[in-house]
Amino acid sequence: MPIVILIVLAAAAAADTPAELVQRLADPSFAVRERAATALLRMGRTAEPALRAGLSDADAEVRRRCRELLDEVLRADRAERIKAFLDGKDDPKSPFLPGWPRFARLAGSGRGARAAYVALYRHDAEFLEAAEGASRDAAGRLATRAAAVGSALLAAGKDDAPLAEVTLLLFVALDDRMKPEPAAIGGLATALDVLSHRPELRKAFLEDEPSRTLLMTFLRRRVSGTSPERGLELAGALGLKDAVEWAVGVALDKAASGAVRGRALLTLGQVGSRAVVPRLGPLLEDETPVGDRKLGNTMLHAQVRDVALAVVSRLSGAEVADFGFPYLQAVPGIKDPPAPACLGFATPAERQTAFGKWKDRAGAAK
Amino acid sequence: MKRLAAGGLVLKLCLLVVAHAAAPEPSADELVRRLGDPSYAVREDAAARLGKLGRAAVAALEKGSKHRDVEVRRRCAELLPLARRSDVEIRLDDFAAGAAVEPPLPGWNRFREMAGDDLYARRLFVDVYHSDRALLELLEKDPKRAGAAAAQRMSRLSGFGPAQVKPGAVAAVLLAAAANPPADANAFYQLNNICYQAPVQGLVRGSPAARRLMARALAPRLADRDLLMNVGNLAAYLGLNEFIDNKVKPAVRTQIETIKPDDQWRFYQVVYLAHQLHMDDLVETRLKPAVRQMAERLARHPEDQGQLFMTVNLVQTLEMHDTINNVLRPAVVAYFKTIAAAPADVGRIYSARYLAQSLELNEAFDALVKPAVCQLVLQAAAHSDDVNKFNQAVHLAQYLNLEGAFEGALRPAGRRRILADLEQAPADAGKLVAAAQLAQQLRLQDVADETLKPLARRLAKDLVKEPPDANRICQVHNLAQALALAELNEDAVKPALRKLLQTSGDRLPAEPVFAQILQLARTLRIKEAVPMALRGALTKSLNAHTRSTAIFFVGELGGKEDLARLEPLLTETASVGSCGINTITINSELRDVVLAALVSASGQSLAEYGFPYFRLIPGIKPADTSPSCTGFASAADREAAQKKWQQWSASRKQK
Repeated sequence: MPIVILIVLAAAAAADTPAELVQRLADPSFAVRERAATALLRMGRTAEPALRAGLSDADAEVRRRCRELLDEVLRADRAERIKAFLDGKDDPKSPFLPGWPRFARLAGSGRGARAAYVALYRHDAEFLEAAEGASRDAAGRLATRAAAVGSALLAAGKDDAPLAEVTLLLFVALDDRMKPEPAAIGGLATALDVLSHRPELRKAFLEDEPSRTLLMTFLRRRVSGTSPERGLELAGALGLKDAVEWAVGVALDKAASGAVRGRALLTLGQVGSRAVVPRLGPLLEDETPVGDRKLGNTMLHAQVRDVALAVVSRLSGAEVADFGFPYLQAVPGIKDPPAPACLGFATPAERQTAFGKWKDRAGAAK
Repeated sequence: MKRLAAGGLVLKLCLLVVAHAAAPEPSADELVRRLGDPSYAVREDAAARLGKLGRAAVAALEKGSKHRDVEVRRRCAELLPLARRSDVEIRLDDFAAGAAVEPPLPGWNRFREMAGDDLYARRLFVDVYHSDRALLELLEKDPKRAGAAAAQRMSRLSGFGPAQVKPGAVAAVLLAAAANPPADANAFYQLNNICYQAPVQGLVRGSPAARRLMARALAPRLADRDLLMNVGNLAAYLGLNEFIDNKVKPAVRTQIETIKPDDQWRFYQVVYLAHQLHMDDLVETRLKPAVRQMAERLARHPEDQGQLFMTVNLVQTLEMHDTINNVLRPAVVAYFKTIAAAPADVGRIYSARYLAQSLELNEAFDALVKPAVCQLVLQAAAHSDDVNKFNQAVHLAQYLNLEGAFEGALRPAGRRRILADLEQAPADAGKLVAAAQLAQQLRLQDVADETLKPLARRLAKDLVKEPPDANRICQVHNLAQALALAELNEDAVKPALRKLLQTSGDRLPAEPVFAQILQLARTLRIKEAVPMALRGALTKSLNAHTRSTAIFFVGELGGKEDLARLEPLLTETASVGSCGINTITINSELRDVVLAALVSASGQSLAEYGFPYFRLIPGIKPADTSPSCTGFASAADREAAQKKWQQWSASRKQK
């Protein structure tokens, strides 16, 4: 007999509308209120409108229970959608993951990219949505956050570094609909400079492929857009091997200025390998001026071929200082000179000696 | 049977007493003999009689101190100092024991008015009598001048280390101060500073009479609102409980009634004092509510740093936990936010750290202030040529233990700065020294090893080849120190310095170079510089300070004959300078420097020669201080020291 009654009651409950169930949250019986809450929870997003309406109910308990249930329903729904998203199922109608299509275009749509995007969403969904909605204050917020992330990277330890924040800001700054302020680009460039000097954080950041891809795109499109040398310099300092092709392209580009090509060569010295050396061969005869540098009372004049000689010899495993570069003689122990002009010579005779040594070495190698 | 025996003993004693009464007074020798009597009563009686004999018993007691009986020897040894006392000493001992002494001892009547007439007062009086009889006589004849003598005595007292201060000297200061209490803040502070010395505290805490003198000296200053806290603190430190209850506490209550609402500092002082003096009723009913209001006002203006510190200290002192949690912590977090908004005020960052630690707000500090500090670090790193700002950022990062700031910004900036400097002048030793110091400060070991050390070795190599130059020699030495390249000193600096000394012959280099050479030669223990130092010491046209450096050098590294050549300078009165230590001023003359060098070289103690600086800081070498500290506070002290040296010197010559 009790089993029959229970079945009847369950059938009646199943027929209840969400609005009716919300009303039952004020029932004098605790058991009835609890059953109504359980039923609403099972309904999921279907119950959302009724629960939202219940937030302004006259009964205080109804309001409280609705607030708690709404949070729970939305949390469960989000978890469900994230799981589906990570499994590769995209729901075009979903309000969730607002910037995903753009993210996928920039960083790919594989499982790794999806996980990276979810991490950004969890890090700050509100800012992500505001930026994707191209809200008016998003550019300003980007600039403020970009100015703060460098110091946050300095203050952080290994385990609490704001790497997700860096990735999020790079992603937002790459939105062509938004015109990032120069201060935002500058702030992010400073943060990347800090990252380049913190080996553990840099390693963790570069190990995440989508972040690395966004970084590379940011350097090429945003930083180099205003200062090509700065973009290449950061790529070299960060040890970004993905930048090799970019740097080779710039170094060989005769339309680019000597200073930029010199910087591209220095970057190759940092991130390139022996495999690149044959492609740089023609540059060993390129006399395009790169710049001048004062060393004590002497003026060094650098050409593309001088920088190329230093880089090619380094990538070939030779000791660069042995070629008599005056800067490396005066300031020993320097692997990465601060500017390409540092690799110039004071006189043609010095240059001739250096190239002579290189030819002798190459001949000996043959 | 027992009763019989006891009766027999009584009878025997009676007979003994009668016998003694009838007999003539025994001789001192006889009394000494009785010190070994089998009867305790007889031995005691003999000791008492010997004590009364005074100096007449000395010969017998001296003989007795070699007696075969151990007890006789012991008792004689005890009695001898008593027997040897002078009349004055006997008088003083009787006085200290409470006896009336006629005529009264000088100053006693006045002393008694201030310190009382109990045994403590008498003992204290005797201490002063032994230490400073002149003061007691002055007290008798001219009490006003006795009071004025306080300053002089305090100054003398502050010239001694704690171990050298005698109770009598302390008691004399207390007496002088009680006779003429400090009339103003300066005089009070002089007394106040003296009183925090351990021997003063020991004497005052152990003697009610000393406490009476102290209370009398302090009482007039209770009316000075600015000094109330100092007087109260001092009274608590010295344990002047009666004075505190009867005088200080009422003064605190009066002060509270009359404080103006905006007089925060005085309010702070009086609350602190009331707590320290355990005035619990006042604290609970009046002060805690007022402090709570103060904290609430602060919460509305948390940017007021001075107010914040004062309030935090008070609330913590009074252990107002509720106010700490509900008012102060939120106020301090708000203060952190003001710093985060404008981090350029570095002083506020240091104070925020203190507040975070004392109120356990480290998490809020890390979240709000540390990133703001890192912002400063980034700015400083971007403009590392602004040396002050850069150093400030380095200190901040060190203080807050921001290793990330070093790794991510400061070291890269330091590296850039070093490169830029070296680029400008790759062979400039001065720039290399600065670079080495920066590398050391930022722990740029790779730069030091791979760039700076090879350059330093290159410079050292050149140093040996080139004509010797004092400035370059010093630079290479500094480089060797900064880069921990000891071999550079051996291989280049020492040979170059010796070459310089050889080539300079009898000529003295220019004064600054001469001083530089002496300093380096002292560090490297180059004795070959002694002749040059001696020439400098004897050259009257040189600055007295430079000559002093030369004299110290000869004193340290010179031989017997060199030291003998300094002796004629013991008459030179040229001023070397002066320095202040504690409350005394030391004036130094060239003869003092010579004396110090000679005394030190002879292995004697400068403290024993009365040099105040070396009495206060024992064990320090003269050459490790400024010559201006190697002098005396008075002409009399100088004269005494010179005399002591002459006597010592004469005794050595006789030997």
